[in-house]
Amino acid sequence: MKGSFRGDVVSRNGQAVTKGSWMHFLFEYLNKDHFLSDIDARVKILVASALLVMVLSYRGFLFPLVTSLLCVFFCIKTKIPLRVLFLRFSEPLFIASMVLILKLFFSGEDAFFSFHILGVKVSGYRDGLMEGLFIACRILGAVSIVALIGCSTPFTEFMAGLSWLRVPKGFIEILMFAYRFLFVLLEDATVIYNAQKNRLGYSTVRRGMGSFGILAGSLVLKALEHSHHVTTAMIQRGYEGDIPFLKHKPFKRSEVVVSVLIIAAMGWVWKTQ
Amino acid sequence: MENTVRFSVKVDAFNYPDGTKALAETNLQIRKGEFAGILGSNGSGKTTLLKVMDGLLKNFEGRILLDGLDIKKLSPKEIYKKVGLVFQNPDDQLFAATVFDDVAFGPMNMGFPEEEVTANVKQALKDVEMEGYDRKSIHHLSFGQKKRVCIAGLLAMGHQILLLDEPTAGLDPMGEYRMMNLLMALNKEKKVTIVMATHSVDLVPLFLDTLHILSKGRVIRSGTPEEVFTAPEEMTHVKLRLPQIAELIYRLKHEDQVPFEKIPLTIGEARREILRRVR
Repeated sequence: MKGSFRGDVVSRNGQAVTKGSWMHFLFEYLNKDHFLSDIDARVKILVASALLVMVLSYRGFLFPLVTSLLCVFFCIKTKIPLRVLFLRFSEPLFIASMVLILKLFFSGEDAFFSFHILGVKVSGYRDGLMEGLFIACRILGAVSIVALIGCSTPFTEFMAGLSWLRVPKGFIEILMFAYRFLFVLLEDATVIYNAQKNRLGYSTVRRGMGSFGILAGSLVLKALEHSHHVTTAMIQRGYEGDIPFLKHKPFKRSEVVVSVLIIAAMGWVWKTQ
Repeated sequence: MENTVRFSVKVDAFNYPDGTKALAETNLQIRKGEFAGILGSNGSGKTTLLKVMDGLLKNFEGRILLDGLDIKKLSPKEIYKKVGLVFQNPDDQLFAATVFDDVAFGPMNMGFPEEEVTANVKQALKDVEMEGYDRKSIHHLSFGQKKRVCIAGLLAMGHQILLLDEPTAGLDPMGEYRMMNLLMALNKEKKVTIVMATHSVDLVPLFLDTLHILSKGRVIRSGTPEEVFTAPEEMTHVKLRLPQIAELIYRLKHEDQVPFEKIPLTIGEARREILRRVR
């Protein structure tokens, strides 16, 4: 009877999630065991917070770029495939590019090139470009830090760390529910979408919009239904408005020392601005 | 199974706010260490009966005694220290990010010391054969595994009475057997009193001590599976059927006049009966 469970990724209905699908992408690369996952989440959160402050307060390219490169290096060391990293970075990179373009053409006074489109003169500004690059580098640096901590810290440990840092418990509980039920609702959404698609629900744009509206409405109802059941289930296991966390173990001296050294080294780079 | 009665159910009526009559004249008793089944078709009131027994629905007419105490007068905490309900859909029950966190939720709320919480979680996961899964995310588990984690979450609290709503629903045939074997092991080895709602007529005779047939909110028949499964006409009347092997032997006996002494409910019994005839 024992030991025949497959260790692979399975969906709610017990079927294996197809490799290469977006669900597989989500499941496969989160919270894997590696050298960073054993480090106390509180230490990681504190180091990440310090680095975030430095990245956001630095006026230049060097520090955010160094931070970004280091974080990407560690992400690769934790065996996160480049494709996954690229997907994670695609949205912030897009936003950074947009900011850069907008700043280049619409901000600044020192024009260093210009051209005409349909008789309209378009100029690129040197100071706008610099400002855009500053912002883009900050975005890149900050996202790299968040990506590294996200890939290296199990979600629950992260939440427990936030709780230790006195983040309001209500906020943490909402995050925990969101994390858990995101997957449930995604599966519900997939089931409804496929059911609609099978019956030509998306055969025309107009019909597709109607179907999508129904899908969204159904998801809201399903979410309400789930919340009702979960509340009942939690109450019968003693929930009285407070999700308890296990107490933290004391900080490891080695982890604290290494963290202080990392912050000091990065602080030294930060001072070069 | 002991003679001590843990649940004494006498529900005269229960109606939902929209007027749906869910239960009427429901009388049954559950003894300590019993593995009881509530068998009924869809909409017969099985889930409602379990919710009433779990104290989730209290506005019913009648009286339910849990260990001799009126369930209406007990606080939720007093009920949930003894009784736990496992929902049909595990996604309605599991809310934490990892298996450990979910199973530990109940014991931590009960104020157990951390060492005890960890020990209880490990033991409960071992009992449901989910050792080594404690760090797994809930959304990585299969449907059957999630159901096991739901059971572990209640066992870790030290529950001695489990109410299960369709524990085999949504499982493949082997999954059904594994789940039933697990429940039987909990019942026989850990002495957990189990009440399960089901309509798996083929599985019931293999595992359950007693059976209560529910139809339109009424318990119309109670007894051992042998006492309850007597004639297909009666079962059809309540939108159920005999176990398939029993139906085959019943037809051979009554339509083809093969002189079987009794109607077997399991393949093993049927095999012995047939061999007796053949030899």
